[in-house]
Amino acid sequence: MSLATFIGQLFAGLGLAFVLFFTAAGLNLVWGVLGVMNFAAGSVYMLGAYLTTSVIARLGATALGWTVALIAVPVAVAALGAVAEVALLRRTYREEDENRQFMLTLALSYLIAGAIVLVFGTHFRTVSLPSALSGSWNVLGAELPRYTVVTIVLGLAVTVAIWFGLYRTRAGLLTRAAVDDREMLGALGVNVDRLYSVVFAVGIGLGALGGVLIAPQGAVSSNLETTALVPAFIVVVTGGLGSMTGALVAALAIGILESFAALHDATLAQLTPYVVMSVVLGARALMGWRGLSPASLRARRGRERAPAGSTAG
Amino acid sequence: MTLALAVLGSAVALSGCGSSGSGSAELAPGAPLKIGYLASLTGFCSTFSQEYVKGAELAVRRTNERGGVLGHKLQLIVRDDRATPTVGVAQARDLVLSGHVKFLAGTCSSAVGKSVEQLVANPSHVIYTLGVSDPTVFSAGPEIYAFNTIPTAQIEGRNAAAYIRAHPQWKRIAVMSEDYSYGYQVTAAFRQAMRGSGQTIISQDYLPSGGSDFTPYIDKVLAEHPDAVYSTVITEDTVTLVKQGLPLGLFDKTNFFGIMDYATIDSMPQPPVGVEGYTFYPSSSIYHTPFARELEALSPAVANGGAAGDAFNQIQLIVQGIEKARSTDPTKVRDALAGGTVQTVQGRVEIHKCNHEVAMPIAMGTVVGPSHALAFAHFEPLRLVDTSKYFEC
Repeated sequence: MSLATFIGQLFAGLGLAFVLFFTAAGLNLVWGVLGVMNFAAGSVYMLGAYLTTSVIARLGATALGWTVALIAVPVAVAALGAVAEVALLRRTYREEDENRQFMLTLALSYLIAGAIVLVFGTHFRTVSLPSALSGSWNVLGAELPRYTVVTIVLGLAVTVAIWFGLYRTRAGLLTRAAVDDREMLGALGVNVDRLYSVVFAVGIGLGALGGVLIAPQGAVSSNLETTALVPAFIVVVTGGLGSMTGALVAALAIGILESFAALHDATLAQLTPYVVMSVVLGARALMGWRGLSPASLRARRGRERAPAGSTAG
Repeated sequence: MTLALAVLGSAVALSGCGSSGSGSAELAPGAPLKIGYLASLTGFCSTFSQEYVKGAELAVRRTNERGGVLGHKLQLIVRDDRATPTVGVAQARDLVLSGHVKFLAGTCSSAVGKSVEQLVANPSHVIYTLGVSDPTVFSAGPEIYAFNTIPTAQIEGRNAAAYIRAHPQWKRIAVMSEDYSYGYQVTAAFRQAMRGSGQTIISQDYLPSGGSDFTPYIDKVLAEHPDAVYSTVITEDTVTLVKQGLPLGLFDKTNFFGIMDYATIDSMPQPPVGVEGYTFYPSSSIYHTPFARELEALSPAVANGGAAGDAFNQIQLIVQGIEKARSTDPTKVRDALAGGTVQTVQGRVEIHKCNHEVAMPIAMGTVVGPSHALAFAHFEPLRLVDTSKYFEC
């Protein structure tokens, strides 16, 4: 393999990984805090892409148009998410039967997909990039598309923002506390309902941001829903439910491995996410490893702190 | 299993409806002639299904404005097959049994087409006109009641091979296909037709259908330094391939040849100018035929869409078959159509007797840019390839 090929494949894998990570991060945040597996994540991603086509159609494929799309679309979709959380999802948190949450998010997924067909029609749409982002840079013989560079940089920025928000702000502290004990947090006077709404909105907004970023990469169509949801689930499950670090590691592993697998066989490349997930889940089962989820990390830290021979409780 | 039972159950049920006798197969004088139209309004090809319906509606309107066929006014009954075989079979069965329909058309799904073809064959005897790429739908021979209105994957692959073979200086050929049965069938036909050419197929990659990132696959193909790339990537996947292939130099560094449908090219902000493309969807604007002119006069916007022309042809096949047979008996209509010629949007074309495939021309040319006014203006010069030479009847 030449250096140019290596750089090209690595770069393509990073681009793939960060697009995967946006949807997975939204899915993971909602699962980690609210305990809700959001089956509408794929529809939200698709909605983000379709709304982007509308914004660009109105404002043009200019720097202004894309700046507005990058900010306004995730915010608008997040606001819709907050409304859905308050009006519908909130009523299911205390239900013992989790199937209701599952059915509700599934129903939301169908509603969003149906609304998109009604508003935008069944024909696919396309948007173009500002001319400054079209084309590529040649680095050591490898052609690196400029837009992929932007996606990777933005992906890194969002990753840092998520980390900062969760670990360096009071809101993040409360969010992590809500994962541990919702009732205790409420007893301490924190408005948990509002916190849940905000977290759900942020999760939805991240999914929509993924849709914004993918829109100029290809055709915006009703296929986007399934092409986003399944890989995002794989990333979340592979990284450990509720773990942002795990999701990032899983997305990077899957994206890069898929890219290099494509050098040998396209079918093998498509199987990569499933292979990675199977290997990781199998390893966990065999070695008792619980992944990088917050609960497992806390448990591990607890074991490390406990003196030899001591027992819990 | 479920599908097999559905088809078997339907065949048993249909065998009792007594439609095989020649006397009962004729419509009562003046009765409406019902045509059931299977449109994949939801599912993977929903993008173009409204176009199909509009094209079929135009053909029905045109026929009725001329007094119908043999004194029967046409009545179109549209059903959503959801591009799913079990749903398509259920809809077709309901149309035939409950709606007493003897003429079916439509679907853009080969899987639906194959299932419904089995349903409408013996002993129910229902004429079924459709445009699908799977050659196995029509492999059962001249006894079937189905007629195909677009070139199959086999014809498409042979035509592509003929084009590549005409450029013997291209020694190393890479193939990029869709990762579903269509892509595999075209590639297989292409490979077979390339045998003995002295040119080497260095790779064949099946891209994920509906995938959002083809960059790794494009990088891989470029790393192999092919002289030419043959692509069977279609519809929205073409958009993704072109958008991601342009900055990587896919169209500058190789002699790219692939499917370039008008609707796809027209929707691209930046089409791949200079590449060689082809399409088999009969947009009417390029044809100087009576039907093309009529279709454009009825609805110019619809006429530009290739899918509408295909559906128009499907209904026309039924109408002309009835006129040729001077009968509404499906068996007589089948026999009148097979081996003859019919008038289509593309002009008068032959229907092969051995497999009931209509020898539709394939439009080829160099992409010069999008045209929002005239379909296929993006091909210059435009060449219409007679596909009859690729049939092995």
